[in-house]
Amino acid sequence: MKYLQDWMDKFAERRVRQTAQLTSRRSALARVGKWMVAGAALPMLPFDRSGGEAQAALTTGNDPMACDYWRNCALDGFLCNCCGGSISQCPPGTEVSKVTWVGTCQNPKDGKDYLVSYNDCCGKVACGRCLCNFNERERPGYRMGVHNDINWCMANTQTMYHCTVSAIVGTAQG
Amino acid sequence: MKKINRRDICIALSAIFFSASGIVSAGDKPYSNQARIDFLLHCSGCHAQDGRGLEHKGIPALKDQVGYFLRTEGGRAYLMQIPGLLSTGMPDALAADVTNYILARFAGASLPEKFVPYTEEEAKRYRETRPADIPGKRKILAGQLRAMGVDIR
Repeated sequence: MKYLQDWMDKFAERRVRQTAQLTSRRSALARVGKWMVAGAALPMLPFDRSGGEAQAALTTGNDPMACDYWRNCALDGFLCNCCGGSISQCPPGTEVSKVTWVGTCQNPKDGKDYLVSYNDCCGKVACGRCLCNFNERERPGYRMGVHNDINWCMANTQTMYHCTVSAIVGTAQG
Repeated sequence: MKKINRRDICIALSAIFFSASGIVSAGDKPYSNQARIDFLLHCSGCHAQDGRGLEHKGIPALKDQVGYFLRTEGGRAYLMQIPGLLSTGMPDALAADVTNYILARFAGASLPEKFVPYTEEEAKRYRETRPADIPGKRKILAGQLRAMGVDIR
């Protein structure tokens, strides 16, 4: 043990002396200064938080087969229309999620707000077709009840996510 | 000018009395239409639109159950302190409103005969004094109810 400690002491001393001999105090200061400035300035640089174009787009379409169909305004997932189901019905072999979340979308045709339930269809591997990502009035994960980055199949026996349907559950006329 | 008759005064006075006493008589709705929307938006996803819940996954049923808590000591506060309600970020007035809606619509026979709807001030008071351990509180209340012979699930 003593031998190891001695060796560590000597090693550290040698390295420190070497550094002191080879570098000037000014260059050390300059280097430390650079790191300090970089550490403070880097987080201030702008970077892309949008996660692609989808979030900027709005759903105003009238084609139920398309991503931008108005009812999909907060749908983040694969459209069940493209996976053997319909806009409000799960494909054969999958089961509708027992828990879900409800968002609000405006129908551009009548200008009314509708409450839309985004149920996931569960029990098969991810469908992989027609990925849509819209997040109108969706909230961060700590407001789990209105968050769409969740696998809502979690309460089913089969928890595998396949695709998402959007069913109207009411109007939001107060 | 139209003459105000005695009957009108009677109606006005009784309206003031009953609204002040806060006791809801049959036919009165203790909630607004906004409460129905808030229920669909914030509660129905997990508790289901018919309030049946998903008990084996820890989502309590509202239907024929939720009113039992009003019979316990501290249960009235508890209903205003449940995590699902707090995490919505609803202001006190809407929280009281949606809870009144749920009780009126789903509690069924579990609702005590004299149900006094929550007010905004009450909601504020209960929400400000939320205990740290809400599941623990539920256990205590469920214990009280079982001791009364109520089948709480």
